[in-house]
Amino acid sequence: MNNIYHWHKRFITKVIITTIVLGTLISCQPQSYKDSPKTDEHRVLIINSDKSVEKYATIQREFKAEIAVKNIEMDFASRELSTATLQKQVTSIQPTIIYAIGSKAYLQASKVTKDTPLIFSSMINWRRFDMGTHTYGISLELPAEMLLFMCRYLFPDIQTLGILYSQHHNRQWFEHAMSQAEEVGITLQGKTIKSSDETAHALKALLPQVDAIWLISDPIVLYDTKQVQNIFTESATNQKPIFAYNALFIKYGAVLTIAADIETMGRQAAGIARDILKQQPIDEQVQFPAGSHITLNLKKVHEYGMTINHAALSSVERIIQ
Amino acid sequence: MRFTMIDNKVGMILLLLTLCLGQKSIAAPSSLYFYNPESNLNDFRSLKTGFDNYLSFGTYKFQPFDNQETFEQFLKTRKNGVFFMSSWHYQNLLKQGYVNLQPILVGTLNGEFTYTKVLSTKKNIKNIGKLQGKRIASAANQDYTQKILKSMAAQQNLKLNKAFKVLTVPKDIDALMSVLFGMAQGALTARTSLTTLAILNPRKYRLLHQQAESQAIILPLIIVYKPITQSTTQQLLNMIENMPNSPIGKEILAMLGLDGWKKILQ
Repeated sequence: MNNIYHWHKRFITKVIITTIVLGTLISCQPQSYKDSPKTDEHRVLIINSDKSVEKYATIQREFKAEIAVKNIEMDFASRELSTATLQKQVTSIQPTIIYAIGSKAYLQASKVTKDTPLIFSSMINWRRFDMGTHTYGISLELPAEMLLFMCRYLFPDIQTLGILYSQHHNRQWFEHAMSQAEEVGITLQGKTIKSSDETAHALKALLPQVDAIWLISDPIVLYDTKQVQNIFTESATNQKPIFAYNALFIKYGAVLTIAADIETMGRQAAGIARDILKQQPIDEQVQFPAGSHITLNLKKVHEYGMTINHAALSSVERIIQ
Repeated sequence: MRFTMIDNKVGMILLLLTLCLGQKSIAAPSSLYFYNPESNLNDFRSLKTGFDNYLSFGTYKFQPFDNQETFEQFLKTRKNGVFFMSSWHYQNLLKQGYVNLQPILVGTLNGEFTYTKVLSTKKNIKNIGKLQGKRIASAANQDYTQKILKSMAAQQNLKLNKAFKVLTVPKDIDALMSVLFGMAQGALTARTSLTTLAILNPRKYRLLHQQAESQAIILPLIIVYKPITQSTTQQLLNMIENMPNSPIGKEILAMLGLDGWKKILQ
């Protein structure tokens, strides 16, 4: 009887000790942002270059609204994230997909993703970055066709558009744009420059030959704010309107700007994520933005005495009067 | 003296009565309340500036809404005023029991008060059932787009097994460009937008195949709660109806994708 009692006592003691040890081991597992995810659950790690920037916050919000999976978020601005820290988080979270918003987030994410699909958006000139085979994204740059179409639609009298560009950065783009301009009955007149010093002279030569200037994203042409201001001042003196690719040029006096629509890009990124999760084929590794945001400065239109097609006004998102 | 004091008191009472009665006969200013998610304008400042200028010689106000829930909450509490809304939204409200809402004017474009939506693709397909599970770009909201696509499928006697994936874009031209550049496999747009593409870029237009067309959809409506009890509401309605006769009015209509109004027979 005593032996059975002692055996029971030792058995129960062993059970208790084992339980305590196992419980301790389980509770010591590393915790990331939320509870440890189940291994069969999809997880998207969203890395934002700076969520305090409105356009980055907007695109993240739209992405999350469109995709019904567990999202884990990281904001570079709020935490000093090193590659090592990010690597640890990725190992811990094991995301199914990583979505990087902005160049900063992409640069870090691309170092740690290995085979994890990586989606990007909001990167200026995405071509300057390395792309893996599992990388997909949304370009920030709209196709040339979009501005050409809206120019023709809004301003039927504009026949010739002038473009300043550097051969190194935009030769191919310009050649493509010329063929697209023909389709809508617009002639593109280009002037190439090799250095920013040549901009003023090239612009003076171009202005008399064209009806308006199309300002494109070119680091030599748009060398600094002083140069940008000079371009607008010279064009205004010659009564030549400027069409640009970003709404920030409105403050300089741009008549029309056409930029990628931020909210649509978030939805597009979510669409790519859904296709990856459902293992559906993705036709284009990098897509153009599907939406455009058009700003029209009606005040400037009237100042320049431009003919405007009022029927096209319903295609404009923002009108300045 | 006594007679004068009585006269003064009576005079005061009469004056007060006149003021009170006069106050009742001065109608409260009427307002135009706007909610139309199909409008491309997402910065209402230009619309507000336009309407404020147009309505400036009255005490009328223009108040836009960018959220359906907020607008419908407001609608519940507000029993006067003039409302601008899409015909689809109006039909939904009728189903919800808003039977006292009465459309007075319907928008027109090129003399027509209806329009149709067309589903276009870059690939020529047998029927729109082939687009199930594919991405359709549309400037209308998700619910409305799915509704139109389902009705198109029904027109082709098709039973759908999967929903369409809708990519919401800001405007019709974005939807057409999305198909042309491969961001979507279909685009649901107004027929007029396709016509515009055909005129401005015939080459791109020829790349598209028109797979289905919706039944006629009524353009946006100007609506009031019946009966109209305030003279200012009627005055505001008259001003709205007269918009095509003024340059500012025409410009506002153009922003809304319209060029006039047609009175709805009661």
